Amino acid sequence: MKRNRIIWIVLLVLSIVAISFYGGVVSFGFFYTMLLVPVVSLLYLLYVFIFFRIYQYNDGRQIVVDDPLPYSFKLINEFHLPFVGIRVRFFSPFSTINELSDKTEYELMPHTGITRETTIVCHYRGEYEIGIKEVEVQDYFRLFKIKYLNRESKRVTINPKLVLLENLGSFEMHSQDAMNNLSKLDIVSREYIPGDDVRFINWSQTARTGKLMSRDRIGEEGNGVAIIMDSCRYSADPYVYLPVENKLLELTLAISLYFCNKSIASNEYHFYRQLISQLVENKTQFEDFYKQMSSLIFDSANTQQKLFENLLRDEKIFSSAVVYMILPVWSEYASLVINKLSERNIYTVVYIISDDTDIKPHVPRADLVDIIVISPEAKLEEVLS
Amino acid sequence: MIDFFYDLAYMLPLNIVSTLTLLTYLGRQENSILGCLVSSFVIILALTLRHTGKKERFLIGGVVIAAMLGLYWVLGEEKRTVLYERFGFLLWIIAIAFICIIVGRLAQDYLWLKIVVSLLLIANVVYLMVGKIEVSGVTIAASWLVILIYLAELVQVGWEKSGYTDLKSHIALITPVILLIFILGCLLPAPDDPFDWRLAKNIWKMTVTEYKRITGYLANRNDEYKYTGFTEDATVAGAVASNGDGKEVMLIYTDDRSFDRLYMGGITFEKFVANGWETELKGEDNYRQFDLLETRAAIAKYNQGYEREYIAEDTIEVESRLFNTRHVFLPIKSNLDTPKTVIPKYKETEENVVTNSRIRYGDLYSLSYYRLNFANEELIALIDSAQAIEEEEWNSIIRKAAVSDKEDCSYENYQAYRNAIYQKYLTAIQQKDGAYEGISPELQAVIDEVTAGIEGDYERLKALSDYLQTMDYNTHPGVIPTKVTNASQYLDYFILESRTGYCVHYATAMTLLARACGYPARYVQGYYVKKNSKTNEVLVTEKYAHSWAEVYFDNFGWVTFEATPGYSVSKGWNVGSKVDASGQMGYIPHAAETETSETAPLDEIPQQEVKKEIHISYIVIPVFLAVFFGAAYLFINQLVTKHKYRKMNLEEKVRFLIQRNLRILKLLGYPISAKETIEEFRGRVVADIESHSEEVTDQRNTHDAMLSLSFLKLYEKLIYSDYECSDDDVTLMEHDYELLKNEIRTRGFRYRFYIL
Repeated sequence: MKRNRIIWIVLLVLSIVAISFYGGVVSFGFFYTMLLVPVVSLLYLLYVFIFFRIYQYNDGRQIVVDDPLPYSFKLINEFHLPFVGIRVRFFSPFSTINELSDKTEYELMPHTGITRETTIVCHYRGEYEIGIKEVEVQDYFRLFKIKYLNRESKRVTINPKLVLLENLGSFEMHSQDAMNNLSKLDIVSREYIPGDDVRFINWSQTARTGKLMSRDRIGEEGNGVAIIMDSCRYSADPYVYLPVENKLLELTLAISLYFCNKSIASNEYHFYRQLISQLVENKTQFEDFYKQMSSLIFDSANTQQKLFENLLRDEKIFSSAVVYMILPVWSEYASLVINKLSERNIYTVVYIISDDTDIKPHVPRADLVDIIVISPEAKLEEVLS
Repeated sequence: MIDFFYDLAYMLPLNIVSTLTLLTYLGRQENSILGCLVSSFVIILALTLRHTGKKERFLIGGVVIAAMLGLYWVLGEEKRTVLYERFGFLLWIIAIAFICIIVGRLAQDYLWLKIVVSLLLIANVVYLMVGKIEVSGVTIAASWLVILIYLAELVQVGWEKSGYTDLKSHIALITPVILLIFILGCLLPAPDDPFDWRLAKNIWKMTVTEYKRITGYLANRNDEYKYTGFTEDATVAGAVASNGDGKEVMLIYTDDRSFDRLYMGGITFEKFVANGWETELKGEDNYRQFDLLETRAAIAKYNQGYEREYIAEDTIEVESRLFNTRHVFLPIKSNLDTPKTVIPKYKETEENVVTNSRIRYGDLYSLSYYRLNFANEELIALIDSAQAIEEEEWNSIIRKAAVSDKEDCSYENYQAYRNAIYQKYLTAIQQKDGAYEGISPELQAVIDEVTAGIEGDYERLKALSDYLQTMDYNTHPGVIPTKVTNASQYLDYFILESRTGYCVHYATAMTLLARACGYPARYVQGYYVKKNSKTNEVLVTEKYAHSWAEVYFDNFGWVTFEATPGYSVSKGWNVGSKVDASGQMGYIPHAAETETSETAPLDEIPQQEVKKEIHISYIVIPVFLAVFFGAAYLFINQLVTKHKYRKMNLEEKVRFLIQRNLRILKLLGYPISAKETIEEFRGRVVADIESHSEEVTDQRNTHDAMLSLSFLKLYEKLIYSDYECSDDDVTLMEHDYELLKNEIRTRGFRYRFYIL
């Protein structure tokens, strides 16, 4: 394009020199031609802008992070002239369109269209635009190009990903203690039915009754596992907050799902105008929990201070066997709560979603507290195993 | 169709250029339209023959040839000869068309040929431009159209794209856009003269003026005269402070035949002190007006009605440049009391004119002034012998000059003015107590020697100024010694000892010498402007800064004397010169205008009226032959086809009939696509026919029958199996054929069918 423009400018200058020294149709014809070439090219681009249409399709089902979604787009030329150089650029930071490069340029004959079918993968949970972001149009001499935003962009809501953890490293290490803690809170046991998890056999009751007894509910009056998630938005830049929030939710759901699969009740806490808790004991409750988490709104007003102050006031977490904290930043309020939990010998795991690996906050009881920094881009299956 | 338009895009514009260029070189521009039509017809015919089937090619070609043969036959030999003489050039046009077809076709495939053709076209255009050969705008526009189409293809070839990227389609479809450039280029006017950039220049000039006005004001806010050469200080310095050409001071616009030398005075000094001049002129008298009136009165008294031989009026316009001053620079004998003089609000301080507010960059003022004709000896005689002007003569000149304030210019005031001159401008040599100081005997001897034998006052002073001009000009003469404390000592030092200096020294010397000889004289600082006859504007810069002497002659007025070597006063003009149309005298004699008699136009050669005879037979017979040929061809074709059909075996007949039916389906708008099976094609056609049948209920039977399109099922069997045809199949084909024909009639495609 640069070369063509240079050639055109040189010719235009020559034509101006020609009309400065010579009159008549030859010199003025040369000048008019050089002058009209860009004018007509720009008119052509204007027509393309008016008559070019984009249609985007996806199959309408729920979109989940990292789940390839069938996606197609159609470029339509509604004009009587060919569109010689159309290029579409995609929204790339938060989603990836497979097998299609946005460097491809298309040519469309009059009243025809081009359809491209592929899949799109969204990387983060949230609401944002996917697909074609902008259109770049060139004229037939490659002198000019105009870029404009796609007037028919596609805005979608992406649900968080469900990660099935085989094991939860921190829990497995302390599982015995945790299980013991949990068992102390049991009230209800029943006779063992073949198929029950042997880990839930209540040996003390078995010894007492002489029959094999299995715990029926875990932590009925206690809270079992507590999962505390910070729902504060710490940045206004989506390039910053989307990955972090995505990972927060993913980890929260992964931990909850892990315990649900182990029939261990978990109670999730977060703050949105007030302290909100959600008990998950079975798959049905987990599905409701997933829906709730999918529509969770992160807000800068949901500060850690409010979250932990309400938690301390509520005191339910002190009945938990294990407490998981999932935070984007470390604060003194978290430290305060951890200290209180440590005083009660409650094992606490803190996951900090951050790229800063140098975070090493001081805790009084290091034996009861695990602090793990997880990058927003990390795979949970690899990090938590 | 795409191929047709692609070829057309390559051949037709090239053909138009070639045709018009050929006609230009043959001198037959008046036949441009005819030439283009003929050559375009040839191109279109050739392309039509190329892009149609064998049958159509034969038919079209035959029709055209039949028509031409018919015309050839009906014209007769005599008329054919006349036609050849008149339109024989068309054969060249047709040849050119064929060459363009070949070149256009080859250029599609060979890049080097595109380049060669483009270069030839550009060379042709350049030759036409430089040679100033008259050519039509369409030729040039078409030349560029060819080049642009080549460029569009070159751009496309090197462009990696996805989608529909067929080159021929691209060019065929993008050519209408490029054609727009061609059409607009033909419509836009093309003046014969080169483009007048005056408007752009004026805009540029305005922009520069405003910029300089602002920067000049900012730079000169506190320092009015820096680098302008002009100063209110008249110290006789040891050297000239110069900055090369220095700043632009003013731009003077005038008629090109006005002054050649002009002294623009800015400030006048009357009192000489040891090392320079001082002024105490602060009154508000209109001394300039008195000077001009006195001179005109003297001339009028001397020689009534011939004023223009002695004095001529000029007007100039002055545009201020890098000045931030209130001084108005005026020539001697300026007329401030005329509508031609327009100066921003000002006041006169006796000899000087100052404005009420500063004159800035770009400010304009116009001046009317009178210049003396020193080439007229009578003027010199007048200066020498001017007699006292009587009151009546004075009043007469006031009336003639249309003085606005007659009371202010009264005879009494004039007399007071004369007395004031002697008081102010003749005192330098005299001491304060009125005693005559005198000059040294040595200097007196020099004066006597220089003026020996010269009688007139003017000639004596002229001789003295000429004598001073023989001395040395030096911009660094050194400071005046401290021993010089008065005018006499200065003259002795400068003339007898130093004999070198610059304008300040010489002007001072001349002023003092004139006073020593008893004439009131003054020292003036301003600008010395030289102009040649070919220009009508002069840019005055710092280097034009100058000082000079002006001497008062009793009953005549002030006269400029130039004593600085290398400078001179304007000589004037030859007596008897005529005033030109602008009212200006000029300073070169008019060349006698010789009247040239207009040559009588040649008698027009009476042209014989050529009676044009176009017989109806010239049209009827060729058309009849063409139609006859076409009809005969179609008839014969039908007979041949029928004969062939009868000779065919069953399968060949069935295949023939299937193809016929498929052609009709294509006519109806249902061409079979290469990407669909026969069953899919049938389904598509049936679905569309069903939608049509809802509209035309009385054709229900036909539509219902057509819905089966049973011949397609047979077609499928023929292709995919070893089906053996029977007579029933032939009957079926023909039955479907009739149904299809009815459908054609229903939809109004009769003519297409007949062509088929």
